[in-house]
Amino acid sequence: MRVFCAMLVLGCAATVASQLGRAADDVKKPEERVEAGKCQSASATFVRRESPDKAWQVVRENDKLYTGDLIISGTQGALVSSNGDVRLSAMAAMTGISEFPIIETAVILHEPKDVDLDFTLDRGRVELVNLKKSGAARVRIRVGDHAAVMTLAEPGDRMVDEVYGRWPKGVHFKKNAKPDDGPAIAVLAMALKGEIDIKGTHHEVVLKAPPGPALLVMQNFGDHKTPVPEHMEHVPAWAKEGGRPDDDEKKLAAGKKFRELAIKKSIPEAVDELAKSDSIDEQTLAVFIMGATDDLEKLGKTMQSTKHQEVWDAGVLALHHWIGRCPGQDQKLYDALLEKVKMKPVQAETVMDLLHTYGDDDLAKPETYEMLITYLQSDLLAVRGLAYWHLERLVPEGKKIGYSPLASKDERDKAIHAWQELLPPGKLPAPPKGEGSKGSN
Amino acid sequence: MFHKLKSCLVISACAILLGTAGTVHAQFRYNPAAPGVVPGTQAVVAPVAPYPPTNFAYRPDGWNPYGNTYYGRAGGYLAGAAQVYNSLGQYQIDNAQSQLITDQVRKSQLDTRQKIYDQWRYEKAMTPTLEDLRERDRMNASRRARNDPPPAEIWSGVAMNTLLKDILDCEGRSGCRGPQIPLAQDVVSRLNVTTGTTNGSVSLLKQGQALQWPPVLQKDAFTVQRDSINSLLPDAVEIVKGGGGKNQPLNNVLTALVQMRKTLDAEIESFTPDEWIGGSRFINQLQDSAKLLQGPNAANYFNGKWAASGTTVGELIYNLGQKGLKFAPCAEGDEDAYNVLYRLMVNYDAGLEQCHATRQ
Repeated sequence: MRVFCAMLVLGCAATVASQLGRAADDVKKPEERVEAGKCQSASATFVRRESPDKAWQVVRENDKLYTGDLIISGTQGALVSSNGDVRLSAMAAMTGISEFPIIETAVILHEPKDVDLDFTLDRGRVELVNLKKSGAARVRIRVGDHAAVMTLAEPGDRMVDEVYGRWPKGVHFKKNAKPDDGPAIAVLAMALKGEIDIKGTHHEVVLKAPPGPALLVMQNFGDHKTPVPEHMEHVPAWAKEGGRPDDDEKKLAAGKKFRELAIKKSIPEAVDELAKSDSIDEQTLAVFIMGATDDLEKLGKTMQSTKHQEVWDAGVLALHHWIGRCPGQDQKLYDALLEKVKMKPVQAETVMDLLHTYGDDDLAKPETYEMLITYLQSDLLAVRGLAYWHLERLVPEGKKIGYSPLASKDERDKAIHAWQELLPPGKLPAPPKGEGSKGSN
Repeated sequence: MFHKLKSCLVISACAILLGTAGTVHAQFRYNPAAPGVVPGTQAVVAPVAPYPPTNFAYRPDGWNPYGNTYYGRAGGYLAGAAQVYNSLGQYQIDNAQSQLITDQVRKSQLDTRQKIYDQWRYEKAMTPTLEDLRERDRMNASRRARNDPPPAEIWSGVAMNTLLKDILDCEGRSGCRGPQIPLAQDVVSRLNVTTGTTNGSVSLLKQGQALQWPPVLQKDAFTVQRDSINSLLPDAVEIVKGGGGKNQPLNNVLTALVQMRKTLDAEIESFTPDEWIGGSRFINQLQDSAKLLQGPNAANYFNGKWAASGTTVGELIYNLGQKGLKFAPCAEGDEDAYNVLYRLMVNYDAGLEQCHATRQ
């Protein structure tokens, strides 16, 4: 029996191309809006919208969930299928730090005609659990235009699915991108308990919980080769039953505040209040929620007005995350910079290029660093901020100079002079010395 | 039929030699975006040009890299040696380009998850761990051991200089010589060399050729300096060729370049990053070339003493060794010539190793 890799993403040119520039809920919706699940977690752990032109709404505990709605969680939202047999938990990371680019989790439910749960995983990480008293639970998972049916053989069997994307290093922004041009997207399936059968159109593969062939990384679609599950010795710490040990307490508190405000007032008001807060964690959460809910205008304004470098950095992260969702997102942002922010085309193109990351060939040219240092002088916060964002990563030694894109012009000019002395024209920075990694997983 | 057989044998031998010498590729998996295409790129494998009907007169006692004595019996050059080398050059360029692009596509089809992970760590400003650095060093060493350096190392001359040194050392120790690999003059004429004292080269100052200004420096803001440099540079070169001495045109060129740089920096936000980098790079290269002309024996760059020469890879290497020259970085637009030479040097090195191993 030929074994098949269940889901195709990876900017699958033919498939994702058809969704160029789409929001997850932007695609045509032939299905009728019917009940497909129920919220099992606390109120406001999910937000939803029926379509891009409708407002975001808080999902309350025990609320019914409907097909076609885009449902997002930034933390541990949980829903159960309409027949009660499968639980889907969002394992998002707005309140913690993930090893992989997972900030929010976004799903769309579909009418479960021949399975217990049918959903699209647009981005993020979900855990699926078989809640049946006996027998297998079947879940159809869709990614892009592809689908697979996952069978969780026994009650209690658990698995995780992940979808995330990024523009890799060395891939520059293209104003006139073709359908083939898109971010790199990874799709994963991981068995946490029991055996999981994954069946696609042409292939089938079985995962077994650790220690065993628990992990399937789906990248090999074009060559039709047999995808081989990878062995895992242990269940990762974040996936252990009973909670996630790595969440940051202050970020958890910010999340709780958002939920309370969203329930009491509204989502936009909750986000505004967090964005104006003095707390860096609350501002950062606001920025991530803005990115997750496609409110780029508000995100831009927050980045313009913040006094905290950490919030600015979070905004850059949110933008990287946003343009990395699928092909067409960076085009949308470019158009927004022209139409809403009223940038000149060359400025918008510069900003977009700076939102992509330089590859080895770029970094082998001293001119790349000269350009970034020259950009530190820019009157446009977006340009100097992004240039500095790269420089502090490429030349960590320069951090001690203390340049801040948010500082006054006089302060910036002094720091720029120091940067020019640190890295004169024609020179490349010394290779970094690895001391250890910052951040935690 | 005889000619078809000849072509087939040549093509097979050529493919074996050029396609496999010293190169091992990891088992990279294709990206599912589309067969052979990596998402976010438009890498496409270039088609290999059909092998031209040629024949080469090697030294009868030399090693024939194309695997049989057929060439010896056929003998002689085709009429019109220039045509032979031009078509060879184009073939070499196309084949090497194809090979390099294939390698790049394969390399870029590394684990997508790893690439995303690397990008995520970059965004989170995570400094590399010691393990990351060890892994990077291991991959670097492995790449070089597989003769598979990043393109930047080829175009900067670093990769070829490493090979040059190794080849000269090996030939000196062993007395062996590598195989006879013909070298198109079109490729040779685009190689930059240096005595090693500077990074500059005279490639931008080729006899009778106007400077190929990048689009950004063709804009109105640079007209005055551009026109000045265009008119002064030939005079400056003539003074150098004539033996040097006071060179006011050269001083004025250098002044104009400084002014051009100031304008480029001041107007940075009028250009896209690519445009700015292209302009900056060209100015830097022209400045390096101009400074080279200030050297005491700069005339040697124009009288053939300090230039790449040779009709085969072995000859080129020998000549460079004799003159104490190394490869300088390539000029913009000459990357394909460097790609070709790199591949041919890898093949030469592999043949030399075989000879050396046989003699031991």
